[in-house]
Formats: sequence, structure tokens, C-alpha cells
Amino acid sequence: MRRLLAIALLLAAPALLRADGGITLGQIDRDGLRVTVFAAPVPIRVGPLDVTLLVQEIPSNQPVTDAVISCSVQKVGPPSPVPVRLPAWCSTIAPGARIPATAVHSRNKLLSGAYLPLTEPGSWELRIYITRGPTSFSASLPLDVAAPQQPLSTWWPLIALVPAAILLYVWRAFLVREKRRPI
Amino acid sequence: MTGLPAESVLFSWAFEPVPAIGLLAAAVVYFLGWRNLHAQVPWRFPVERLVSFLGGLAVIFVALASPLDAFAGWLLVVHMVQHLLLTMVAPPLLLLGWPMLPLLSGLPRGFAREGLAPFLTSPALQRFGRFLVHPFFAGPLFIASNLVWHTPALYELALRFPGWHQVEHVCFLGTAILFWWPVVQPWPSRPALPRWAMIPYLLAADLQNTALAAFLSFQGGVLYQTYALAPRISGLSAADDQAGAGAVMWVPGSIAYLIPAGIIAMRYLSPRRRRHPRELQAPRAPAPPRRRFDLLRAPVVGPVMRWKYFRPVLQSVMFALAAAVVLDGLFGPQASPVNLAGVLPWLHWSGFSAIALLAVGNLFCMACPFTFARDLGRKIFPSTREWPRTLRSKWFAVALLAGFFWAYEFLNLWDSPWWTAWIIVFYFAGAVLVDGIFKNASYCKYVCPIGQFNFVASLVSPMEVRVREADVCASCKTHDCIQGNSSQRGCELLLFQPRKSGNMDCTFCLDCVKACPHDNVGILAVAPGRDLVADPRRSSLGQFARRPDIAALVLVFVFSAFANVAAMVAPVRDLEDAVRRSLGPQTAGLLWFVVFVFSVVVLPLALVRACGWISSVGSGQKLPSLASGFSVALAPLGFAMWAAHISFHLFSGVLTPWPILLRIARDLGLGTAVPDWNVPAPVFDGLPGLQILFLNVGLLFSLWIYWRKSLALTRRAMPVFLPWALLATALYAAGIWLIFQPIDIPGGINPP
Repeated sequence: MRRLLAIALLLAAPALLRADGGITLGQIDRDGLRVTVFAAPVPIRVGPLDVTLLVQEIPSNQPVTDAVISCSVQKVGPPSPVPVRLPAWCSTIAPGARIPATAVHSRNKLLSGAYLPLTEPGSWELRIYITRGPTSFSASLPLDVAAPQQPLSTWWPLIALVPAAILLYVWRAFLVREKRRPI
Repeated sequence: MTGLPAESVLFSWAFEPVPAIGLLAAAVVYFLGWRNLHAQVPWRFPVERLVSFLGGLAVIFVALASPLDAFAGWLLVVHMVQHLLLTMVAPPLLLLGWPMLPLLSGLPRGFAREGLAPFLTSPALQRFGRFLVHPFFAGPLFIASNLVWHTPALYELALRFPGWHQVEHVCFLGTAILFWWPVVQPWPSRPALPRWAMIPYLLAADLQNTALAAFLSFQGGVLYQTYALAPRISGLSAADDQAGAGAVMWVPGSIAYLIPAGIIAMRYLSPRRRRHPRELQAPRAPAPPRRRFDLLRAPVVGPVMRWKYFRPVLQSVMFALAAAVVLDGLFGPQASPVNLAGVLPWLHWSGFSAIALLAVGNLFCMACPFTFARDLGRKIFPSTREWPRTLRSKWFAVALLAGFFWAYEFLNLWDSPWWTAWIIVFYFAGAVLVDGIFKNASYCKYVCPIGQFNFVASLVSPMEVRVREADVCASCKTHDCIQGNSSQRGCELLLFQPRKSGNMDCTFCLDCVKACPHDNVGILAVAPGRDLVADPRRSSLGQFARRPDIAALVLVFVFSAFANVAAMVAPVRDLEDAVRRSLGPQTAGLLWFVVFVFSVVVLPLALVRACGWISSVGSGQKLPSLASGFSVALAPLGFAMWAAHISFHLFSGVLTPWPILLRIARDLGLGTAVPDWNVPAPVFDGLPGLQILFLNVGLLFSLWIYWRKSLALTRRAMPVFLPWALLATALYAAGIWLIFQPIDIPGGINPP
């Protein structure tokens, strides 16, 4: 049984690790630079959009780390008829703002990243602005934003820990009672 | 990766708090246990075991947090190295540390004995454990996991979705630990098969590894579409990358299986090893005495805290900060996000106080700037009178605490630097005046709302100021801890150390520590909530079951936690606006006052009375004492709600003082730097998870106390327990709903 405990302890440590993820939104070749844009979550939903960009020189594919990059999101078309409530942490970012994308916000330091708030479902436009030396350009990519996941569907595993802990306690009580029962 | 900016690659580390803390916790628990065992049986637990286990944890950390993880999505060869570390390096290292006994021994003894022992000694679970690590189960499981996760559909799933990537890593690590178990056979587990059987066992695994590696190397096309589409940042094409990954799997992977197989074969063919003479002759050393952790005896921290001027220095720093807040609040710009008075007291003070309460205890009262002013004032005021007998309870403090919460919500204190400054001034005046007239720390004990808040919150703190050895106190004749002596005053809150239990009314001033001539008082680790279950007769407080005033204090604390959050979330804000529009501001204000009184006073009283009545019918106990005693057990849930709420504010506004300081320096002509108000808010997307975990712990803690208290009253505990459990669960559900709502930020994020 000690084995079980040891295994459980060892497994508990990395269980909640985040991994790389996201999708490639698109690739833009302009002025001798190739910009690959990644986005998470998958699928893109209302809430904070994690945008990361890789800038490379053409044709050497040499990653560029000295470009100044920023991005913004704009809703395309009419506003969504159903108001959507953003999760609480989303309210800390001003919607529509041009947010600098930096390596600080990305795990992979070849990438420049930023969080952008998507406040309603529907069609959006992601605009990126890139300046490197005398070269400066902007480009846009379409975003198809789905309705947000209900918080409960995201966080239910954590809430389920409560009944799981109670069941464990009940099980423990049962084991203790079994042990005390005279043979 | 020729031509890549090396700095960018090498700095592509990630700090994920949850796994980092998990690995650190495993390391600390193992180390504590290993230290005990090393002292008793050094030949079984030499330093090599420690190094091996910590090395295994380090390998996991490198695999998951280093640039390997950052580039795993672009290069299959890097991803393969990551997986090899998780399946072939980390597990054997962990198991070579013989982790079972050190991990058990390193856990708190009560938890290991009461919580884990029933499971560990269950014959059915022991059989299940042996089944899991049996080579006939562990081997095929490991091979199946490897094969299944390398199918393109599942591999792509893991690459695209972080959640599935976590599942993949857990499968790899978990099945690998089971696989390597019979190979390493960590003591004291016993082998299920003869030792020679491990040779074909390892060779079979190598066969699968070789086949998979050959398939990857020679398959021709690119197996995983993600890598075909990934940006090429090195000279490798996607096909070359896949062939390289196959080679990594093939060569180092095979070595990882063949070396242990070779070692086992050599040992099997060598003459049988004699047991070391020490193992046969040396008696087992006695277990070192297990002392409670004492913060005052901890290295570095202990001497600093025991320094004579530690508290005055701490208080003077807080006093200077309070003075700065008051001055900026009165004379600075009247916009909360750009004023110290709008940020420091409401975001930082509350946030860091909560962290201190969770980690140690009531450290804010230790650093209280108001009592610093009071002590200075006492040089002028005589303080000769006794606090009025009719007010020697918490009722006055309960009213003040409720009033404070009402003022916070309905005067929008957080949004008014001017009012915040004046409240601090009133606080200083109150402390100096009350304690200038009345003896002892009457202000702390009977008046201060912040103190009462901290007293209730610290009921669940993991440390207490308490005696080290009860026997020493039994022979003490002078009782300096409460009476003081010529050089040091005793406890001004009238807590007699030998009969003190829990943190209620303790300001962590350490006067008793300094006064004790036997050096017998420390800040000791305790099982949180222990005294809420037992409810002993406490010095100066008695039993909580006989103190309805303390129960009322806890109820205001708990229900205000929920009301405080509710008043900030969008649905309630919308309702408030609608009511204001339809009734007018004055009538709406009156209505909301009534709602506040209902939710913080009337509702808790009604609920507690109802629960108490049902429980008293079930147990035959008197309603008042039952209601009082059980109300106090809601404190953990209430503190959890406060912690969940405060953590959001702290994370969203932790960096806000910096531009404010630049603004003040500019206002005073001390600097020219222009403040950048676009302060990053380090609100990570796992924050709701942290908030839910706080609530989970709070609920389980309250439920556990209720169950133990119910069992102490009657053998038929369920009828007593159920109503209180339902009350706690309903509060928890309300807390979860509140966490999921949008919230208005009290300053600091997007200043005008």
C-alpha cells in the first residue's frame, strides 16, 4: 500500500502542468519578414486570447527578436445580440487596446506574446503591427470566436475534489471500523 | 539549432506555480523523512538516496519547465527528449531514492497516522498495490501507453490541447514509475518474480522501443501534421526531425533498458553479496526526538524575530507607510488608482495580511502601526482605568466590524482616498485615546475591527504563540508571561500562556516570549483548527460554546466575506443600478442598508438558529451553547472566501504602487520620471482554480470540524451534523457562483 501512496505523491506533482498548445492562425510574408501567428485557446472563445507571433527573416528562416510588435482585436460586424459575461480575470484588460507583444508574455522566448480580450462571440479581426528598423507594416487576420465555455465546464474537476475528499474520508472511516471489529 | 539566438532559447523557461510547488513539496517531505531515517539507519538511507530522489524531481522539472517544453511543439526531436526524461530517467532516479518510507516519515505525524494509515494497512489495497507493480501488469501497461500515445490522432490531440498534453505526461510518468518499480524494487517492497525475470522484462520493453523508433525513423512521410506545419527554425526538415526523434528513441532509449538489464545479469552471475557488518551488528539508532516546528528557533528568522527591537522596527515601517497613505490620501489626487490610499490599504495590506495568516498567523497585529502610536502616547497619558465591565465582551467589536464593512460597501471607501486617510487618522486617535485612558490593550481586545478580523482569521492559522513544555510552566511561580516583570510587560490581552489555546485575541506581540524567564514560549506549529474541535476552557476567553459574542463575531466575519464579494459582481451591481433608477438614490440607499443588515445580521442569525434547533433536537444539547459552538466552525470557510477574494485583488493590483511612487516623487519635485499607468496585472488564467481550491479547503475544513464536534456530542452524529453541513455547503455554492461572476476592480488597473 505504501507503493500506492508513493506513486500518488509522485504523480500529484506534475499533474497540473500546462503544455504548449494553440493553433497556427496564419502566416504573413511581407518586406522580407515572415510572421507566423499562433493563438490559444482552441477553439478560440470569448475571454482572453493568447496570441503569440514568430517573426523570421526570409529566406534564411532566422528568427527575429528585435522587432517591435503590438496587436489589437476589433469586432467585425454588428454586436452580438446576447450579452456575454466575461470571466472575472478578463476585466483587467481594456478591450480594443493596442497591446505590446513581448517575449515576457510567452514561454518560448523566440515568440512575442500578448493577451487580448474577446468580449463577445462572432467575427473579429486580429491586427498586428510590426516595426523593425525602417521596416514597418501592419496586417490583419480573421478570428472566428465561439461563445465562452461555462465556467463550471472548465472548473468542475476542481469542484469535484470536494465530494472525492468526502468519499475518501468515508472510506477511511469504513476501513477503521473494519479493523476495530472483533474477529 | 544553428543560427538561433542562444539567449532566447536558453531563457525559454516557464514557471508554473502549481507543478513547481508540487515538486518542491515532494522534495521537502522526502528530505524531512530521509533526515529522520538517515539518523536511524544510515546504511539503508545514505546520502545517495537523497541525491537520487532529488535528482529525479529535478529531471521532471527540467522536462516540463525548461526550453525542452517550449520547443517541443516545433521539433519532434526535442519532444522526444522530453518524453525520454519523463519515462526513462526520472522514474528510476525517484525509485532509487526508496521513496516510500521517507515520504511517509516526512509527512505530519497526525496526518500519516490518522489519515493515511487506514489505507496503507488495508489488505485489499495492499493487494491492489502489489498488482499495480507486478511485472505482468506494469510492463504491458507501459508498452501500451507508449504505443497508444504515439498514434497520430492522440499525439496531435496532445499537441493541440494543453489539457490532453498534461494527461499524456501523467500517463508517461505514471506508467513508467510502475514499469521501473520491479526493476529497482525499492526497499521495503518485495519482488513478485525472481530477479532474473527482469532481464526478459527489460528486453521486451526494449523490443517495443526499437520497433517504434524504427517506424519513426524509416516511415518516410511526416507522421504528425503539427510538425509538418510548424515553422522551421533550424536546418532540419520535418522528415529529418522525425528521423532524428526516432534515433533519439532508439539509441539512448535502448541504452536505458540495456544497462539495467546488464547490471542485473552481472549481479545474478556474481557471487552472492555478503551483508555489510553494520547491517548485521549495529543496533538501530534511537529515533531523534520530533519537536514541533518553532518559528522562533528557526535559522535566521528566529534570531531576527527575537531581537529586542524587531517589533518596534516593524511597527515604525508600517507607521511610516500609514503616514504616507494619510498624506497622499488627504493631499494627493482624489482618484483611487493613482493614490497610495486607494491602493496600499485595500489591495496590498489585505493581501499580504491574508498570506501571513495562511503561512504563519496574525503578523499584521504584530506590525500594527496603531499600537506603535499608542505606545508613544502612553508616555503622556496615564491609562489608569479599567475597561468598563459591561463592555468586556466582543459585542461592541461585532457592531464596529459590521459598521466597518457597511461603510466599505456603501461609502465606497476603496474609491475615496480622502475617506481612507481619515479612517486611518481615526484609527490612530482611537488607539491612543482608548489605551491612554484604559489599562492593558483594551483597544485591541474590545474595539479594533481589524484586530477582530485577524483574530477570527487566525483561528485557522498553522502557528500559535504557546508554551513549549507544559512541565516548565507547572513549576513556574512568577507567571511573568501575564504579570510581566521589571523589564518587560506581560500579556496585555490577559492570555495566560499555560491555559492559552488557539489564536483568538493573540496579537503576536511576543511580550510573553520576552517576559518568560524560562524561555518557554515560542511560535509553534499546530494542527490548524485543533482548538475549534476540542473547544477547551481558554484563558480570558473560556469556551466558545459559552460565548455568543464570539459566535456573532465569526458570523459577521463569514457572511461579510460573501456579501463583500457579492457587492462587487456584475449581476448584483446591475440590480443595484436598476433599483437606484427606479426608487431614486436615497430610497435605494436605505433599501441597500436594509439588505446589508439582513445578509450580515438577520440571515446568519436565522440560519444558525434553525441549524442549532435541528441539532439540539438530535443531540439533546441546549440550543444556545450548541449554536455558539458550531457557529465558530464556519471560520475556515469564511476565511477561505476572504482569501479567494483578496487573492484576486492582490494579483490584479500588486504592481500598482510603482507608478504612484513615481507620481509622488514628481509631485514633490524629487524626480522627473513620468509614471506609466499601464501597469501589467499578473492575473494568471489559473486564478479561478486557486480561488476554488481555497473554497474547497475551507469547506472541507469546516465540515471536518462539524463532524468531529457532532461525534463528540453523540454517537448518532448525523442528525447533528447534517444541518450545519448543509449550511456550509450552501455558502460554498454561493462562493463558487460569485467566483464565476465578472467583478469590478477597486482601483489600480485602468486609472483615468
